[in-house]
Amino acid sequence: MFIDLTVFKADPFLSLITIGGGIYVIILLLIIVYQSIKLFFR
Amino acid sequence: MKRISNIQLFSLIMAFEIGSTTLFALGIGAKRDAWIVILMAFIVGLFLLWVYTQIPKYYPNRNFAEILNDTLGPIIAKPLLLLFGLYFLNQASHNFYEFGSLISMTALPKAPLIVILYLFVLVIIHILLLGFEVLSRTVEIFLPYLLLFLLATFLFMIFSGTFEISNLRPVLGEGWKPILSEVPRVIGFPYGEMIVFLMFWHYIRDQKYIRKAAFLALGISTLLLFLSLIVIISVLGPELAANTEIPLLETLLSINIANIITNLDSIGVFIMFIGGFYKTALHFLGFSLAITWLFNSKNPKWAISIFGLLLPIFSVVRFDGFEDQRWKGIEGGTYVMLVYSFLPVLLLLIIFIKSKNSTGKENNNVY
Repeated sequence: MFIDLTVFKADPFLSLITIGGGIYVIILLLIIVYQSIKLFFR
Repeated sequence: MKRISNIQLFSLIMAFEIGSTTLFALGIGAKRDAWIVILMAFIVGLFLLWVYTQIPKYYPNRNFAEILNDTLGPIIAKPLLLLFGLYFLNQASHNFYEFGSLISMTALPKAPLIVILYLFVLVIIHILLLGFEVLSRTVEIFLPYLLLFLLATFLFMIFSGTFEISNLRPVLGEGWKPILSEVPRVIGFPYGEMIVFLMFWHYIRDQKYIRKAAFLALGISTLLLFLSLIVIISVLGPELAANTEIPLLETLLSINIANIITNLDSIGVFIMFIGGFYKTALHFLGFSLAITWLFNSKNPKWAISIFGLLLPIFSVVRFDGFEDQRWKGIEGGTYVMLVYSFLPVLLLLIIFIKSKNSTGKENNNVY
């Protein structure tokens, strides 16, 4: 499998950080798209 | 707020980078070519450091919480600040437990680990309660000794008779694949950890010299890491270096010059302790500052005291032993890349695009 889940099962704290990081990467990408559209259509 | 000088910043970054990394054989999965891994990771590390030092240029003298609030708004900024805080706590607990275990293995084998950890954390709490400037002043005192011992170690190893430069040959004997698989790990440890300094840039007196001091410190510490790796592989060989718990300590034990200069493991313990102390202290301070700013407080002393006393218990519960901590650090290192590399780059992009948008608004306001 692409991601080895063993370390996440062994370390829930790491899972929390990884999931939070993943969610925020998506949020920041969406903000970049929004700001870029705003800049483009200025 | 007491600010620190560029020399103090330089010393902090040096101690932080050298701290734990010279003890271990970084990139040893690539065996004899581990030194190529360091050089490649250094180039990526330079880019990451450029990102980390570019953010305060848009917001000079503002702390990281204020930067996030201005860039993203409080609703998105606060959980992100918490995420960064948790990442710093993650790194702090890893460093803390690792160094507690190393001190237990080398200097105090009969002392219970929790006692060593509490003694360690009480010193950290005491210095952090006195302020960031005090921490910076102590590192100014210790750094010359750290560098002196490290360089003396390298010289003794070269003249000890066990130094075989042929252990580094053949170069690229196993191709690029082992090197490329090791590079992400080395980027994360130690270069990606520099992200913690985002929490401290506003403490620097001369904001315009942050980048110069940081790049210089990173360059010199990489040179020392490179030398450390060359010496470890040349003395121990790639197989033994990969399988030893603390390669630098092993090489120190092998030094015997005319039966006079021998048993130098106390130098290794000194390097271990100083390096581990500053790495843990800075990561823990980063976490405490994040929690403080989340609660809109100015003084981090309550966070340092409360969470400092809980840190040993948290570390002991989290890790089942030294091997477990190492495994979690190595395996988890790839995933926390989201926090130390992707998030700051995306954040910088947002800051850049927003600054372009606000410049455009100003140009359109002709009245």
